[in-house]
Amino acid sequence: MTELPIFGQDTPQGPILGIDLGTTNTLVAVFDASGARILADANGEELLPSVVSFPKDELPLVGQSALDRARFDPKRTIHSAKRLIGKGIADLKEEQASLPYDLVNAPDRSLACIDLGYRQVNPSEVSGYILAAARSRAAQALKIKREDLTRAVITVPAYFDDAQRQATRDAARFAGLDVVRMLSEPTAAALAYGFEKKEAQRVIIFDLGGGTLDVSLLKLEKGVFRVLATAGDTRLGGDDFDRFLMNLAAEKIQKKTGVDVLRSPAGRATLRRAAEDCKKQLSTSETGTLKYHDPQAGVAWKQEIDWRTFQKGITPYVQRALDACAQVLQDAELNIEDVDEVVLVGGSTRVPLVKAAVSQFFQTTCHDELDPEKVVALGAAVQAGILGGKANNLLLLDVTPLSLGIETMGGTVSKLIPRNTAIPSQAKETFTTYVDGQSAISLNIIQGEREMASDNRSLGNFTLSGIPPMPAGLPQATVQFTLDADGLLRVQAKEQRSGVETEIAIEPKHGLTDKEVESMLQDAWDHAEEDLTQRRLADVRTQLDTVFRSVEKSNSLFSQLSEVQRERLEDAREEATTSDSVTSPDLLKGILDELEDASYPLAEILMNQVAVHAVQGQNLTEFSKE
Amino acid sequence: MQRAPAAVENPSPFDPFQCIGITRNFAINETALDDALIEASLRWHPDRWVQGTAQEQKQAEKNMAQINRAFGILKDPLLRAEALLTLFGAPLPTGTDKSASQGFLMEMMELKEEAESAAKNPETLSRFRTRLLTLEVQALEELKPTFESLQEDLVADTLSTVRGQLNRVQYLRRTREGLNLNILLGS
Repeated sequence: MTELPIFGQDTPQGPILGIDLGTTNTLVAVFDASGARILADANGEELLPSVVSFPKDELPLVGQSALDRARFDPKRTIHSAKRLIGKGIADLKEEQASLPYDLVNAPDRSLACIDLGYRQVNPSEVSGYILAAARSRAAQALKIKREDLTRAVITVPAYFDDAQRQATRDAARFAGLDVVRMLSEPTAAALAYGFEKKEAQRVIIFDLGGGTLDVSLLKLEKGVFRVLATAGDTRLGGDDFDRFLMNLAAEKIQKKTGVDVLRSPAGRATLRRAAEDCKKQLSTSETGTLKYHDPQAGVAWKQEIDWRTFQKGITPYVQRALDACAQVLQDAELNIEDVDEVVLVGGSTRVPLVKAAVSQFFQTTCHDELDPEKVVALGAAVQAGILGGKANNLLLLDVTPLSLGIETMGGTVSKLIPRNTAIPSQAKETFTTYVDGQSAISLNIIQGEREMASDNRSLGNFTLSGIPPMPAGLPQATVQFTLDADGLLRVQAKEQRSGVETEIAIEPKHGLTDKEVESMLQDAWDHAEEDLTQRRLADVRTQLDTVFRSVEKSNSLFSQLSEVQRERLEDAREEATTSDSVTSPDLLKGILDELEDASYPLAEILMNQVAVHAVQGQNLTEFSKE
Repeated sequence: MQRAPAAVENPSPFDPFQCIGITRNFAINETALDDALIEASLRWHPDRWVQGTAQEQKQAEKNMAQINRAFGILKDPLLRAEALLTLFGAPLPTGTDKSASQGFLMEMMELKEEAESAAKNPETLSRFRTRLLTLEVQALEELKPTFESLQEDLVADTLSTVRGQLNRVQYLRRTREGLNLNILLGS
């Protein structure tokens, strides 16, 4: 066995944490005498934005303070790292178009890295900072020393492949956490709901997050949660809804002003937030406002979007989600009538069309009593309780979402472990040579459902060498796959006649080596969240200065404002000029927001002027120099 | 790919019934099977051994993998029948079938033709698929008394009859799965 837990079981310390490492937000929870509960920060905030900002020559920022920097430092403020984790740059062509930061290939590996300009950062490292912040938050909330919080249950989308799971485990190691169990998100949600009924029942978990869809079917009986089948789509989620709104806005802005706001990273970041806001409004009312305001580029635009337009735009995505529901029923050889309960998980199930479509498909009302954003973290905490011996009456039996096999002659795949096989699982297959005297057999390990190896994910190649010369077909190489309860694969191969043996854990291709993790650990991540208030204050002040300067530059236009508008703007300016003594970041943020809103009419006037000047053959740069 | 003869590396065949702890029989009660899985899982799932030693954890993982394998075999009547037959000492199925009856050979040819014409239209395809499934379920149902008699008295002739019947079920299933593929490719 190559791998033993870094933190031994012999010294059980603090409680095992349950962490939902989300694409957009991360939550940390524990299981104690009163059951599972979410841990909040000192201000009572439960959601930790999954964002890390890397200012040059300074320590990284995590969470809200990082999110606040997104607009003016988009290339070094990393959100959605979960969409990149364990993936190669070739897998990420579509994502790159919508991300404001730059991706590069890590040297010697097919692993994608983020280029900060002054250095490269690995998505596992980004997630590591987030997990480290979650760990600190838990230590603070539980009044336990951080060194005593060393174990965690971390949730991953059911559809995460081996590379993505390995990379997530690397992230945890980076944060000083030993992953005692990697749990799939929909299964965690089922645990959180509990469904403590006497008779057996079948439950569908429909989990639509920012970037992924998971649909799982579970059977619950006597406290045992058994996954019967799981299906999903790793490229489907609320981000697709945002992108629809972003493209809609960008097109209209370009038509009106000639400016392609999607071209600049800052523009993309701003528009992304605008689209998210509009989507949120559309979840609770019939219309939402899409607005884009960029005083520096001289663009101010807004438009009402009604739910019909939104619905029409997202219908193809919702249909794909329903296809996955049909798939999961087919895999389990069950019908819609066999499903007793349906649970909605993930922020994107707040979209009314999604909720309605799923209800209609399963012909039942869906459960959404637990906050869809918290339910996964609560489930992770329940699993932590099970593993810590605090919830002995429960047990979870999960399956592997993706088939595992080996590439054979002709480029086809020989499947050793088909998808939806219960884990842990072991399977064996015997292969032979096809050339006389062949001394090595090369094995390409494949994960995925397609017939041809090249259409699937290759987890790594390895070679069984040192086979004594024999005629073709005589050697018998037995390959054994062991898929553990975390869904991670180990491969052993043995040539039966000569006894030559080799074993690998599938890490080198997409994961990080121990050495790499160690060298990353030397970076002082644990100081990352210190002095956050000061840092945030400084950041907000910078933003305020920027807006203030652009307002001052246009003071010649004040006369064109209405009296009400002018008065509001003057007040906001006054507030801004006397803000040096403000020490609360939140207060300063309020001043900033007011100045931004108050200067909106000014930006509109400015933009109209730009349009007029553009017609007269003057370009934007010349105008703003005036 | 040729499967290596089981005897080479595994002298005693895997007994899924013993592994999961239910009586060796073709007819099984699904609830009893589920209960047996739950009981075995509560004992051996790695989640129950987190506080154990590294060796215990490794053993738990191995045992649970076997339990999962056993359950996978037992819940599928065809795999269950194959496992029973192997335990009774019957030969493994071979690629080309010598024990097929004349009647089965005729049926194979007819089904092949029918599959080709049914594939032209989704409605006929779906109906044909249902028919294959019904035939498969019927054939397996008909095996129940035969297995009962084998349980009492292991007659070599009966074993080879069952072998032939299972070959037919396998053919039915492969044809049906091939149809699924056509539907997917066609859409």
